[in-house]
Amino acid sequence: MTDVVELDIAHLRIAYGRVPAVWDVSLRVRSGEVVALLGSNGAGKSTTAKTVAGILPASGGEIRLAGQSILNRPSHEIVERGISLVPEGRLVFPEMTVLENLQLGASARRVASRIQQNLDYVFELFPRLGERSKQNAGSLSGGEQQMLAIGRGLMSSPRIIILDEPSLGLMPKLVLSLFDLIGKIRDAGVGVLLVEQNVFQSLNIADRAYVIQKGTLWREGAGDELLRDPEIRQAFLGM
Amino acid sequence: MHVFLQTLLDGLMLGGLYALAASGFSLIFGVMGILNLAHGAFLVLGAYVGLQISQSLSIEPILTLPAVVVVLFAAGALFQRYLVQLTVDRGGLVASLLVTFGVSLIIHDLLAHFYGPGSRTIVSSYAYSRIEFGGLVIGLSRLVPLVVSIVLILALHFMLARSRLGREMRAASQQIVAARLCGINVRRVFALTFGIASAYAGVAGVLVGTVLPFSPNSETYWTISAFVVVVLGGAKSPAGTLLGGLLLGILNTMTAQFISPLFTSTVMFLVLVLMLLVRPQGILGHAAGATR
Repeated sequence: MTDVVELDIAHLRIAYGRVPAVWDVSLRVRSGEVVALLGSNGAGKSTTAKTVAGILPASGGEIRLAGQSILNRPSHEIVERGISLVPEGRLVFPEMTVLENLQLGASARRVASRIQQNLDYVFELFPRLGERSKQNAGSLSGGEQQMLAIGRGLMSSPRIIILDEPSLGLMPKLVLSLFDLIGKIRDAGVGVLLVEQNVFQSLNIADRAYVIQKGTLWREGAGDELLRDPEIRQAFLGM
Repeated sequence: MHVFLQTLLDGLMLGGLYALAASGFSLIFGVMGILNLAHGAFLVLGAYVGLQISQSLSIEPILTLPAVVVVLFAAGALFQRYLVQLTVDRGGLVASLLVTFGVSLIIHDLLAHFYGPGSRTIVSSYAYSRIEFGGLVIGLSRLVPLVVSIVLILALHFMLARSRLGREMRAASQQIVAARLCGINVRRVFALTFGIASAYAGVAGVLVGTVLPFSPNSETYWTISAFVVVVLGGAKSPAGTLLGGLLLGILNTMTAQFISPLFTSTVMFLVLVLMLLVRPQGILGHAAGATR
């Protein structure tokens, strides 16, 4: 195990133009743990994820990785520091091969010497991608594209990986293997911030979880603790 | 038959120039979705830079190409970084049309101020040399640009297909958010794209200058012809650009020979409209898109 690093988000505020989307969100993710970020559609989960990755600008608050501010830094610099976002909707490069997609995932200078090693690791996690490495990404099935997006995100050897709605549109069987995979990524020492609408599965695997509603933090705690919370059960699980 | 073959040959020679002249325009459109209306102005600027250097140093025009590449690359990259990018950030792609058009006017005026509005030519030592075989005549001043064009377009093709920068360009063009998430500095890639495209325009300008007269006003013609080449060949690949350029060259010489030299622009425009109606994706269509 390498040293533990921490992603620390404090009082984050994000607005689209003048419309605020996230008011006040604080959360921490350490390497080697799975942290779920939950909430209903439009609560501000994806917005938070994109802002951490430098795709959207924050209007206030602070984001630190290993003690250093990464707030509103350019996205390539954030990847270089060790954060990787696997975006909602996969966003693979459709007219490029699986191999090219993965190679692009290792664009950070930090991993220039580790490309082959990381490729081997990704092909070991997803043998299917190895079989299809010469195929165009656009010709893959939805589940395979999701694997490719996660594999691409792992190619930069992230210390924290953010998975935005990875289970969206997957068959139930694939959802199970996805959560299995998330456990493997954690066991490799990577911190996983899991942004999900699939509350039950996420709380099952998460070490800790945060629930946001209307852009503010509503609940936080250990995964199993939140699973027993009656208000959460009522709001998200319908029980 | 002989006249037809000679016209076809002349068309191919001219077409190589059209292809090279359009390749930068096509690259910028393919990678960034920007129609660079200053493209023709950069080409003409390259011609004047080549003229200036070859006259000042009394050297062969083709030897000025390395210097022209450096000057135009820098101009194009700075233009993108400090004008086009800022405009696109604030006003979107449509605003970039205005800015690139405005810059084309500025370059035109500056060239007219320093070099006068009249026509110039760049004279090479081989301007009157020719090769003859089977009754067909190839002027060396036309053969050299064709060869240089094909070599440079092939180089662009391999850069896009094989190099790291080419892969990053294709990534940014297909899925810009994902490119940023991969850790690619997309702004740097875009500046390099503009730099390379402008360097290609500059080289094309010098070669054009050794074959045809040029003046500050020529910039409009070269922007429009780049547009036509891209519509003919598709914007997605250097191979498409080469095809489009050769077709435009043949079209022009055939029109001049068999209809009237007065109507080359008219025919070019009619073909443009016809293509947009019948096959807007270009002749190679999606086959070309795959090499992006």
